Formats: sequence, structure tokens, C-alpha cells
Amino acid sequence: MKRSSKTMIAAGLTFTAALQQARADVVVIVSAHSTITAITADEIMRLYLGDSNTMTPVDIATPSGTRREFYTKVTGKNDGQVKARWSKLVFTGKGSAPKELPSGEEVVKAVAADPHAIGYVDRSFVNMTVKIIYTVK
Amino acid sequence: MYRSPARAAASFVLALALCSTRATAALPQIDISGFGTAGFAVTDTGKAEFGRVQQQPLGANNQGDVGVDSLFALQGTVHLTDMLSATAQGMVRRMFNTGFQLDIPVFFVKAAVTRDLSVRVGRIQLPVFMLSDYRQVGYSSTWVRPPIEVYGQIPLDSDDGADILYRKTVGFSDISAQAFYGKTDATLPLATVQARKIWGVNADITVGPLTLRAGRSQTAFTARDPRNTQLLTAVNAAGFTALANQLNPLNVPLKFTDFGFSLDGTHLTVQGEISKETVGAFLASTDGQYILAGYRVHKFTPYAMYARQKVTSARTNTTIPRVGALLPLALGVDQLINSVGADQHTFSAGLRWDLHESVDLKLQVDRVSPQGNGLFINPQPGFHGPVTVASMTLDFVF
Repeated sequence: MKRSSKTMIAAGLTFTAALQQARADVVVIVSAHSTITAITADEIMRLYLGDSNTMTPVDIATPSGTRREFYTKVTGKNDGQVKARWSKLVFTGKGSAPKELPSGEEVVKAVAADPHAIGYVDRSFVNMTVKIIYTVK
Repeated sequence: MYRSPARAAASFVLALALCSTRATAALPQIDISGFGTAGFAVTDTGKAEFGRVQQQPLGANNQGDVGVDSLFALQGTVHLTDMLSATAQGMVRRMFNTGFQLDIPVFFVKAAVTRDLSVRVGRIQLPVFMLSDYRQVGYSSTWVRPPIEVYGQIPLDSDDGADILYRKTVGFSDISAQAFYGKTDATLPLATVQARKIWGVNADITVGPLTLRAGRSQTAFTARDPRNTQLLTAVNAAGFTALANQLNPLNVPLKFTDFGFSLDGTHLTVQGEISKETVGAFLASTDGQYILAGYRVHKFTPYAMYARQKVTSARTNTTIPRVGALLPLALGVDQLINSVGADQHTFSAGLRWDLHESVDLKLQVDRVSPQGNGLFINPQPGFHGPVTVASMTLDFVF
């Protein structure tokens, strides 16, 4: 009895840890055909805030835990601040805000199809068509 | 700004029709977005009105007003090919009218020649200030409205012509540059104005949270106002031909230089601009400056701002003697050369509250200190500053 409860607690802890890890494991991806192999957090931030246009960023539609985690950790800005930044470019016709896709699968599909695209997804969505160039910490 | 609404509406409908034809042919991607502000402003005086620019026919007084800041805009972009897109923006606002009117401030075709270089042809925002391009988008700024002391220097906000946009990422910095050419017409309450041969260049560089920008533009400016024409005819008839010609705003060169910076940190946000306008005829040459600082704590950004405008050209005529029969004429000329631009400064304090991902609520109080009538609209005898202005706006984007 005592032993089994201990096992259960241990199993429970492992499960919780696994859940936390799964939630925290957001990765930045590009097409498997892309020549890019690594990127810095600063470069990702500039792409997603519209400062840099060397690649085409792709977003996951809100509400999304993956999106919130990505923006909070990489840009340090909330959805509102990010939207304010992009509205500057959108309403001058100088740029288009990142395309918002409904799921991680869709992001992987879009990134795989465009050698200029960059996206972020939960690691569990990653397949052979894309490669990981950054892990969000 | 007033443009034939029928013509504007026709071109908008034509654009939409073009879009839909294309839509059935090749199903191009169409982006629809919009922004708007619902605002209310009230002052503590009934003897003058407060506006966004001095040339507006109406502003806010102690009765309160919703027309200073309220506007609604809808924008559509059709991606015709990978390289080619068309953008149109319809905006309802009061600006140079006594009632709300539909205007088409943006209408252009854009060709993305390369990833870094694009060319636009049509009607673009007149990019003379750091925030010119999106000065109507309240949601993208900390303040309730751009300070009149600086952004009132050039009341026109669009340019019919073309521009070239260049963007490049170099190491840790992102650079963008723009060159533009065109013209614009506007019907103000008391005058029709024409800006011809508008051209300018600007460039900015962003490193981390810091952006620096410099811009230079110029135009040949003409203003036609029957009352001024009458006065200048009288000046000419009294024998002061040189003065009459000198004051006549006919194709006078207008030069504008603007330096700006912004710092957009996690908590701290600071921005400022210094600008210099040099213009001939009776119009005042002015210097403008402002600085804004805010500190973001979660969804709240309290901020403070200081702005001022200073006239750098002569404000009294020394040609016509102030004696006898010539006195009214001399006073008339003095009044004329003081009718545009003024010495004025404003201290502002405000709070931006991000209610939602794309909605904010702002409260702002301004303490405006004009010299004489300053930049106030419709001043009555007995008007004097300082004036307190209280404003509330709800901004949104979608």
C-alpha cells in the first residue's frame, strides 16, 4: 500500500514534469531546404516585430499557449504591443503582418512550402519537412 | 482634407470591383484591416477651439467635442501576384470639414521589385514626420494625438505620386529608407492649397530598442484665400508692390527637416522629434520639438509629454508705416503674417490602458500655453491662455 502510493506519486511527478516540458518546448523552424542552420533570439525578435524582413514570419492564431510563450520569451512583449508594432507597418502599406494559421500542423506545412518562411511550433509537430533552428528557452 | 467624395468613392468602388474580378480569376489573397478612434475632448475656454492642426474649421471648446480625435478607417490590400499588390484605405473623419466625411487618404499599387526594394505609385501618406505614416492610428501610439506644435507644422497628410522603399538588415541593425515625389491639393476652410513638386528622402536605423530617423522634404506651395488676395491687392495699390509680392503665397518654396528617435523598451518608452520648417510668403517659418516618456507596467502606461513651437521668421512688418490712413493696412499685414504658426508650448500627462489585445483606452490632460492666440482655432476677442484640455479616446485595430 505504502509502496504503491510512492510509485503513484513518482509517476505523477514524472507526468507533471513531462507536461511542463511539453508546454515549454517551443521551437523555431524553417523549411528543410533552407540554408539557415541557426538563428539568434535577437534575429527572431526583429523578424516577428517587423524590424527585419530577411524572412517571412508565420504566426499561430490567438489564443494559443505556444504563441504566448514564444512572444513572451523571445520578444518580451505582449500581444497588444506586438499588434501596435505591426499596425504601424500594415496601415502604411509598407508590410503585412505575419499570416496567422490555426494550428501547429498548418505552420509546419506553410514553413515547409516556403524557403523564406520561419515559424514556431510545439516540438511535437516537427517532422522531416522542416528543421529546428532555435529552441525557445 | 477635402477631396471630391464622389470621385473618391468612385475610385474606391472601382478598386473593389477590380479586386472581385481578379478574385474569381485567380483567387488572390485579400487582406482587410482597419482602425479607429472614438474620442471626446473638452477645454476650459469658450473663446477659442483646440484642434489637431490650426487649419481645421472646428475644434473642441468648453462644450466638449467628439470630432477632434474620432475617426474610422478600413483598408484593403489585394495581392495580385507575388510581386504586385494594391492597397486602398477609406477614412471617415472631420479634419478639414465641419462634419464627418469619407476620404481616401491611401490608394496605391505596390511592386516588390526584390525582397528589399519596392516601388509604390498612387496616393501615399506624406512621410514628413517620424510617425507621419500612421499618425491617425491611435492604437499604435502612446499619446492621444500627435502634438500640434510639431505635427501641425505640415497639416497635409497625403501625397499623390510615387515612392521607393528600401529595407536592409545589416548585422545588428535594421535600416529603411524612402524617397518620394508627388503633389497634393487640399481645400481648407478659408483657402485652397496646392503643394507641387513635393519630394523628399528619409532614412531610419533600428538597433535593439532604439530607432533613429532623419528626413528632409520640400515643395512649391500655393495658397489661395480671397481675403488675403484682397489685402495684398490693397497693399500693392498703396505702393508697396515689393511687399505684396513677397507676402503672396504663390509657388513659394517650403523646406522641412525632421530628426526623430524612439526607444521602445520592455517598460520604458521614450520618443522625440525636432523639426524645422522654412517657408516664404506670409507663412511663418517655425521650429518644433517634443519629447514623450512613458513607463509600461503590465497593461498601464502612464506618460508625460512636452511640446513646443517657435516662430523663427519676422512677425511684424516694418515696411508699411503705422500712421494715419496706412495704419489699418499695416495692422492687416501684421494679422496676416501671424495667421499661420505661433509660439506655443504644452505640457501633457496621460495614461494608456491596454484593455484588450487590440483595444486601448487613453486619458490625457494638456496644459497649453499659447502666445497670443497660439495655434487655437476661431479665437474670439478676450481669449488668452493657458488652456487646459482633457481628452479620452478608445482606440482599436482589427
